[in-house]
This record gives sequence, structure tokens and C-alpha cells, in this order.
Amino acid sequence: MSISKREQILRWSQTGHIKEQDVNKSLELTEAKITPSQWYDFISKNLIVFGFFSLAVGIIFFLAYNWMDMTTFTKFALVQSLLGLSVLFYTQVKIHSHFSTALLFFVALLIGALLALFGQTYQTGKDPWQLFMLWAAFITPIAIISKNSSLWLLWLALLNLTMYLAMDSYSWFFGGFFHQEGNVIVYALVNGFAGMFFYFMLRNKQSNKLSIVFYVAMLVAFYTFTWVAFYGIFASKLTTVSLLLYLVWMGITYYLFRIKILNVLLLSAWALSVIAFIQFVLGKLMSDAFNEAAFLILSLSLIGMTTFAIKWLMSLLKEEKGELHE
Amino acid sequence: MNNLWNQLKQANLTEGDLPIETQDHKPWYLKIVQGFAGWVASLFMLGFFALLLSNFIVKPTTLQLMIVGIACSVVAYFIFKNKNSDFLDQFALSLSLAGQIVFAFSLFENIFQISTTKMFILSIYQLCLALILPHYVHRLITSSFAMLILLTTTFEVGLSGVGAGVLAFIVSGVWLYDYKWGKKSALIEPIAYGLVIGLVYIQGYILTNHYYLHSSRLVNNQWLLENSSLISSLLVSLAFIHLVWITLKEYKVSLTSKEGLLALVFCLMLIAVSFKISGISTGLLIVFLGFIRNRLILMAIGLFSVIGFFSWYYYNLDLTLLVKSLVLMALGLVLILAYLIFSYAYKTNKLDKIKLTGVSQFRWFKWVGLTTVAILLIAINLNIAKKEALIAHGDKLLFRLGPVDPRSIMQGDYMRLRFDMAATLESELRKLNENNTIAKKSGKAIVEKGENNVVKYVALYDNQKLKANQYLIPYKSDGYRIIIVTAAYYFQEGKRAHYQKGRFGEFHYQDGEMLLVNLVDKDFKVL
Repeated sequence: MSISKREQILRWSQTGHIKEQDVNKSLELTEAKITPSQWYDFISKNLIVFGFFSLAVGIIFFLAYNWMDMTTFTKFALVQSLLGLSVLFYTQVKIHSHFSTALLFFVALLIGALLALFGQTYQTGKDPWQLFMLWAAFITPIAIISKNSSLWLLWLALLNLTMYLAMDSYSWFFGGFFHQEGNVIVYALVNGFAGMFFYFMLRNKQSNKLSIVFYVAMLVAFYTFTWVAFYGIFASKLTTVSLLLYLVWMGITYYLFRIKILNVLLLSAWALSVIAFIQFVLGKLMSDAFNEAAFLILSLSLIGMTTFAIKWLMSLLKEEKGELHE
Repeated sequence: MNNLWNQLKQANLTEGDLPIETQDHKPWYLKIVQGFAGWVASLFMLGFFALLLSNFIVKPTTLQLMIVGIACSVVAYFIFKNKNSDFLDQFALSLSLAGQIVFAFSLFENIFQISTTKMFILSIYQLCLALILPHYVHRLITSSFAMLILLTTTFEVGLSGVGAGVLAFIVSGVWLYDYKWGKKSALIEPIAYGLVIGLVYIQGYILTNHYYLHSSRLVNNQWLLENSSLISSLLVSLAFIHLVWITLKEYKVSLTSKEGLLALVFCLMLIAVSFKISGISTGLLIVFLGFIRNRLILMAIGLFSVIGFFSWYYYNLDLTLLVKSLVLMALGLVLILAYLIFSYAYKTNKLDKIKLTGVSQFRWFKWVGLTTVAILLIAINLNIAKKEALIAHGDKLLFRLGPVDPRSIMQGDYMRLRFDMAATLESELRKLNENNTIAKKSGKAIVEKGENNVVKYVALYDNQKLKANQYLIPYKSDGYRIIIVTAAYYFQEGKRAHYQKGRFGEFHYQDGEMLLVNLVDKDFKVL
């Protein structure tokens, strides 16, 4: 990971290679300051994204208010025409710009508003999770054409919300026994697949840069898979399945992010998960006789494994930097 | 990097060869791994200490505990200083954190007697530790906790508003002059992050406590406490303005120029907004600071706090959804307008100009967008037509109610409904099973329409032939309860009292499909 000019100069001042009084001059000379185009970019992007977001959320709140004095017809007409106009407007602007992305975000939120309005008006009694599932389904193509992380983040959030609500209303499906374990497996699998999907689909082919939503999905996946391992070890119902899933996941991610490409951030999450897993195993083995020795072993093993992991990850970083300079 | 070095060498700002990276700079995620693992390990250590001590009959005194706590950090200090092995380093981190908890425990033996003075002592102790012990992650964690505790004490004496304001100035100052940190970077940076975390914390505390104003123990500072939100907003806004002013000077922008005036207008708007939503200015301050000093982590922290504070404020505001929605819509329009003005003022060739593109020039993206929305609109309108037909032409069936209540995530106020019919069905279904449970599948039941359209239960459907006035209604079962079409009725926010008079749910039935249309009171009038 290369660092900015500013950070490099600051590092040199930290090691004394640049004298303190010269730092400011160095920054000015090398133009390590923010360019006008960066300023423009920053301000305009924030204005338009928050503007459309605020407008859309305002509309959603307005519909949630469920104003009796406005007829059903008017409400539907309003939302549908806004939606239609926005997408038509989208076809007229330059794609993949801040404005078009914000517009698409607006469209995506309006789609949700329309679906919610339908459910609210016709008292369909549909479970809330179905609303979010439909919403996620309809904005999938929108997210694809936007080529922007923020829409995929919305999509991922909706997916997780759908699961959360579905498992809430169908808690009987997983039974009282493996309620928690079953839930976590679902979250882990969905986020894991989403992460893989983002990895293969959203990679910038030239620079190999990965998008934020990919990292979010993978980190959530690592988190939930670690819980899968936890329940696999401590709860008794789904042990084999849970542990198998965990090992498969860890194997795949190791292959992808250590061997195929080198991504130290994800490997850090990987390492932390492995450490947690070993701690779980140790805890389980000692669970019968939990005395002070157990705590000592747990703390020392944790410290030892952390040290080892950090050393390993730092060496990987050097390897990564070496790759960049080739 | 080489070019950069040469550039500086030529200007005589540095000399010699390009330095080799001797220090290992750990990226932020590795610091998180270290910190989190170190913290968990310290808890295990505490467990070890506690269990070990429980073997001895005599309970250690306050002083003894305090000494133990301090000793842990002293040992850690020497380990850090000597830079032996990474393992010992990590061990020392956990040891010192455990020691701090022991120290805190010695001060607050009784959790109900946590006095302000003792909290103050703890925070000062931790600040000293943060300054003395030479370890980045240790400094970060310790200073963060120190700030959290220190700022909580300000609340107790009513100085939270002032505290937040002063801290905002300190934070701006520290980060603004980061090029002066020089060799002391390793000391200042983690503590600076700790200060930022403290700032976000105190701002959140003020915001949430604005709604839960409890009586403070100090009567003489009551005024300060009650107006802490206002005070903090004012001071933080001043800090922000100061920041903007320094930035303008740095970029040699005159106050009377286009940019200068724009900045001034923005600052004034910010002050106005932040008086309504205290916390916004803090978040924006941190984002701005992060931007001008190229610190992505600060920007991320700032962004999360803005979103968090804004959402919390909105969720808890005691106004109707209508007013909130209007404010949000207005805000949205203002921001979009600002964007348009801004773009127009800085028209360059790189701008996304809006020109009318004909259909023939559409790339596939635009087609996908259009098609998706078109499909949605068609599908929705078809369904609307179907439902409207059902409402208009369906037979009216009234089901007696026993209502129940909360707010749906996106659809507003609603009442949870429970029909007597459902209870009847449940008992009938239970009789079918040996262990008194209900099967988890949906089914149909026969009901008969009687006087005033009120329906009565007849039997579970088992392919019997229906008589006149009898209807086949579908029901769903989730293993616990029976649901007839819907379990909720949506209405305008705030009208709960009006709908609570409902005694019947009016369904419209057509061709086996039912829709809940109205709630009806005991005199069969539609509500």
C-alpha cells in the first residue's frame, strides 16, 4: 500500500531526516496539499449524495406518516411519477458521475418507498421481510449499472435486514434448539457468498483495487463464520456441519487472499478468526476444570498467538510492498 | 519516493541518501488486532489474578490493590523501554491494561459510590500512563479510556458543554499542526486519536442526555448542565469556523473572494443547523480536519458520527413524522440546490453537463435502468388494479377483533390485530393433534355470514360442499398462532386512539382472496 506524499514527508520528519522547521516548506514545495479539483470533488460529492439521500428519506417518512387526507391514488401517482422522472433524468446525464450515482441512489430508495406504500395501503399482511427482499431484488440491476459501492452497500444491508426479519418470523423453522446456530450459519453463508460475488464481479481489472462493499461483506462474513465455529464447539446440535463450513471457508479465503492475491487486511481478519477458534478449542478442553491455570493458559496463548500473527502479517506486508516495486 | 527525496534534497531541505525504512509502521487494522487481542488477554489475566487471590482468605486492602495496579504498569514500562521481544511487548500491553482495571477497582470498590473526585483521579492516572509508557496501542487505548472517564466527570459538574467545546479546540489544534509533531509523532498521534474518540463520546453523551435530563446533584451549576447542548454547539461551531479560517489562510484565499464568501455562508448555515442538532458540527469538524490533513481514519470517524448523531436525533424527536419528513425533504432540496449553484459557479469542461441524449445514444446501462423501473411500475400497477377490484366488488365479511400494538420499520403506525376467529381456529386445530400443538401449515376454514355481515366459525375445510352464505377463508399457521390474511392494520400516525374503537375487521372477499379494508366499530360504522 503506497502512502501519500504528505504522510511520507511526515514520516521523514519523525525520524529526523527533515528538520521540524522545514516540514511546512517541504509540503509546499512538493505540492502535498489538496488540489482545487480535490476540493471540488469533495464538496460536490457530499452535497449531491446527502441531498438526494435526505430527500428520499424525507419522502419515505412522509409515506410512513400515512396521511389520510391524501388519497391512495395521489400517493401512488406521486411516488410513481417521481420514480419515472428520476430514471428518465438518469438517462440524460453523464453516467458514472457523482450526480448519476446520487440519482440512482435516489431511485433505489424510491423503489423501496413504493413497495412500502403498496404494503401499507393494501394491508396485505405480508411479512416485512418480503418487502425488503423484493426491494433488494429490484435494486440489483440498479446497483450493477451504478458501478458504485454505495448502492451495493445498500443492497447488502437490505439482504441482511431481510434475513434478520425472516428468521425472526420463521424462528420455528430453526426450532428452539438450533435457533442461534442456524441463524448465524445463514448470515455467514449469505455474506460469504456476497463477498465472493463482489470479489469476482467488482474487481477493477486493471488496478486490482477492491471496493469497500467487498471488504464490508468479507469482514461480516469472517465475523459470522467465527460465531459458526463458536457454536459448533460449544453447542451440541450442529457441530459437524458448523465446523465443516468454518474450515471450508477458512480454506477458501486463505487460498484466495494469500496464494492467489495478497491482501493483508483480509488475512488479518483471517488470523484473528483462527486465534479466536484456537481459544474456543482451548476453552472447551478446559471447561471441566476452570481454575486459575485455565485463565493463565488462555491469556498466554492469546498473547503468543497474537504476537506470531502480527509478525507473520508484517512480513506479508513487506512482501506486498516488494511486489509493488517490481 | 525517490523523486520526492531528490526534490527535497535539491531544495536543501534534507541531505544524504534515501533512508531505509527502519521503523515498522503497522497499518491501522493491525493496530486493531493488537489492541483487541491485548484487551481480551488482559481480561483473562484478571480472571487469573482474581481466582488466585480467592484462594487466600484475607481480602487485599485498597492500598494493596492500588499498588498492584501501579506495579503492573511499571513493569510494563520497563518491558517497553527495553524492546526485548514482541511477545513480551504484547504481554506488557495486556499486563498494563489489567493493572489499570485493578487500579480502578481499588478506587471504586463499591460500584454505587463512584464519586466524581475518584473518577477524576483515575482519568489523570491514565493520562499519565498514556504519556509515559512508550507503546502506540497502549497510548491509544489508555488515552481513550482516560478521556471517556474525564469527560463523564465534566457531566457531573455541569461542565459537559464547556468541556466539549474546549476539547473541540484542542482536537483542531493538535491535528491542524500535525506537521510540527516531528520526532514526537509516536507519542502525540495515538493520544490525538484518543482525544477525538473522547470528543465523539462527549458529544453523543450530551445529545442523548438532552432528552433524559436527570436532576444533577450540583444545584449551582444547573444552568450550565441544562444548556450544555447549546453551549457545546456554540463552542464547537466556533472551533469549526476557526478551522475554516486557518484553512483559507493556508491556501491563501482571501475572505472577500468567491471561495471565501462561500465558506463564510457555509459556516453560518452550519451554526444555524448545529443549534438544532448538536453533534452535527462536531462530526463535520472531524471530517473536515481529516480531509485537510489527509487522514482517512479521521474522515471515517467523522462520517460515522455525523450519520449516528443525525439518525439518533431524528429517531427520538418528539414531532410527527409529517414535520420530520418535511424538514428532511427541505434539507435535501437545499443541498441539491447548493450542488447546482456550486457546479455552475465552477463550470469547467470536466463537469457533468446535462445535455439531452436521444434514445439512439443510450448505452446499455440506461436501458437496464429504464427497464427495471418499467417492470416494477407495470407489476405494481397490475397488482393495484387487482386489489382495487377486490375492494370494490368483493363480499363484505366482518371478523370480530381483539386488538393488541408498535411501529413498522418503513410503513408507519400500525395496530397488531387478533381476531376471535383465530383463537377459535387455534383451539380447533389443537384438538386435532395429540400433543395439543398446531401444525405448521396453512389451510382453509368454513365460515358463515350472519347478521350485519358478521361471520361465524363453522368448521375446518375438509372438502365439504359449501352452502349459501358460507365462505372458504384461507389461514396461515406458524406453529404458534393462526393468522387470517394479516396481523396488522396501518393508519395515519397518531390516530391510534381513533382506531382503538374498532371491534371488527372488515374484509372484502372475492374468488378465495381476502383483503382487510377497514376497521369497524361496535355500531358497524367504518372508522
